[in-house]
Amino acid sequence: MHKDLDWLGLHQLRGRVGRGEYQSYCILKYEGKSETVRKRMKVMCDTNDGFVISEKDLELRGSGDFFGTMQHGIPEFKIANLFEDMPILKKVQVVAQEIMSKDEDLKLPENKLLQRVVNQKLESLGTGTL
Amino acid sequence: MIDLKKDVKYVKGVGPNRAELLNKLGIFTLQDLITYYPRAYEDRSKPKTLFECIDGEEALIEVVATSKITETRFGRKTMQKLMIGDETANAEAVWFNQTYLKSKFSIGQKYRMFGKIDKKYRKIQIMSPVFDEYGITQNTGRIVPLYPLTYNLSQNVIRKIIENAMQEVYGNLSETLPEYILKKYSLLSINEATKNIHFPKELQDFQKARTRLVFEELLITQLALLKLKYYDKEKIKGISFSTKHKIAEMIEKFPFTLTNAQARVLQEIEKDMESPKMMNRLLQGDVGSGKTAIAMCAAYKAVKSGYQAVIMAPTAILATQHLENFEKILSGLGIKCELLISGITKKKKEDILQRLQDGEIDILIGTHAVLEDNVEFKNLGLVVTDEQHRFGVRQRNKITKKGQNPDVLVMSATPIPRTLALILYGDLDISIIDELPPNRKKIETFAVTKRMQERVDNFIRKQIEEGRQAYIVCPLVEEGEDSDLKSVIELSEKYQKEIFPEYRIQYLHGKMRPKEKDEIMLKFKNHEIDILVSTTVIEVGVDVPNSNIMVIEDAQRFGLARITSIKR
Repeated sequence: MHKDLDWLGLHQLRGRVGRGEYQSYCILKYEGKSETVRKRMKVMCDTNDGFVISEKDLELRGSGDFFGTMQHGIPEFKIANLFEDMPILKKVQVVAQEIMSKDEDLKLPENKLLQRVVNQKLESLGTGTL
Repeated sequence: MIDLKKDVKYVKGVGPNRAELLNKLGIFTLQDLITYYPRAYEDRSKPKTLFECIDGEEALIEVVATSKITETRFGRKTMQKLMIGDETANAEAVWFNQTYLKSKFSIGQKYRMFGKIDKKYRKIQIMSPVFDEYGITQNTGRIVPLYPLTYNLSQNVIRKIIENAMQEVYGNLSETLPEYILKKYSLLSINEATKNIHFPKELQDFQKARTRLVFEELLITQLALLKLKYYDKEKIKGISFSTKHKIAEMIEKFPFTLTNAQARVLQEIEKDMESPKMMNRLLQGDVGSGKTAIAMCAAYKAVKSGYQAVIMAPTAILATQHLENFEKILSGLGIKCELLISGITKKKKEDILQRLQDGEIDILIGTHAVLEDNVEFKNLGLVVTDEQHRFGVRQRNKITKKGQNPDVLVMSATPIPRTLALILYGDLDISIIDELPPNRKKIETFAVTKRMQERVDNFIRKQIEEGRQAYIVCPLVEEGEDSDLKSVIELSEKYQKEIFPEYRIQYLHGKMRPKEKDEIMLKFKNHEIDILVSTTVIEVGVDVPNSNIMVIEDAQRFGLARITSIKR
């Protein structure tokens, strides 16, 4: 499998210039008429803000794409794909915050089941059971 | 209740030999086996007539055997043929070296077969099909899971083994998610989800199963990270750095003023450092937003409070760059910085390690080399990791063990949206520098097509004539690394011969030895090269302030969908 930078990576690459006192330029040469490519080119031309680019990148990304630049750093998931599963991730984060704010040690009877699996997970992160 | 930790070799149909192969796939226990999820499914439930079949496709056919199997031998190989037919056409099923098939078919009996169709010269063949007697759905007539890697185990064998395992566990798996969550989000039970992820009856069964399993995996990860964060913060006693030595003292020494965002982040960090809680903070900021200055301020406070600091960078070249920047400002304040990378001499290294132990070095800057066991600090109080890619909880733990619960600052140049940051760095507090220094000019960016080639070349020429330098970047090509290399060299030659014979052009690609790459980057920095033609390896590189133009070739190639794994 071959990977290259995604748009965020390209943005970071562009950051190689603009480090001195001179006005800097980035010229994107492209071919083809793909709508997505044109949209992405526009985003790159319109902004130098990495956060804006990463948000747009996420929007424009179809399922099955990967977050190239981050790939090495992403914790390994057996089944989840952070991009395809973004809607689930958002729900999960709400649930997780709710649980932790009420029951940090997962001691309530209704969270007993979670306590066991979360501890297993912590072990696998290499930090030992808490 | 079922023992999920049971050695996989005791699962029906496994045994010691197959267990070894499964081990190679990372499957050691019954639990590993049932969580070895399919990577795709093949719908073998929709039959086609022989007439409808298309050459080259894989299809399910329902046929009657019209002959016995005949076997032809060539040398050591054998070929088995069976005449078959349905109401639309006659065909042949063909296998190789499958002598045992001889007794499997009876004339006049109906079978389902699934395999690759070969339809040429009015002759139809189905190649090495899997089959069932009509009415049985072992290999055909249903949606069949395809597993990611099977080593020397065939898809059929691994499927059968998982089927056996499922018979054992289905109905006996204890639920892992609380009832109230299952209800609120209409998730399948663990038993249904596990069964349907492997053997869905309909494709929507698989979707529901997957949703449940993804929900669980993400929830557990998120909870574990949050727990880690609260636990570290509340229960581990960290260092309270001195409140006398304010970061503000140091800022006065900077040759530039801080942005509001930098100032805000520094306040957050200073508060963390002064509190007895352990700092575990992620500092996110775009390229050029001034993260190094922040790291310097934090290190200054640590050193002034009587501690040592370590800065860990992803590459030697970045570590060296950090050292230069640190020394420019900190040397004048009597703070001793030192560089530890793998390239230095043994003698120099020993000297550094000794002075580090004696506390003569205040700030150690380096690569992974600083993680080595023989690197011992006298009094490590602050760990800063500059992460191109996430170092991982484990590595960060390794470096923090070198001190007594030192404060940790993780810097990342990847601006990721909040939802993602929460799962990638859920164990950390997050600070964001969302503002670039005011004197930084926007990098003017233009998207152009091939027709503009000449104008682009003239523009590059104009900049070089004014004394500037240029990067020309080509993306990786799909076919393999050798062709990447070729494309960089070819492009560089084309520019040298046809467009800019008067300028000094050099190419750079990922297959070069690190030393060679460093040398070229240094020459570029020293302006001994005008144009650097490169693959994306310059992503992590040295600052070359004089270089003000970057041309990206074939920009449409970036950010495209990657090739996903191919069948089988």
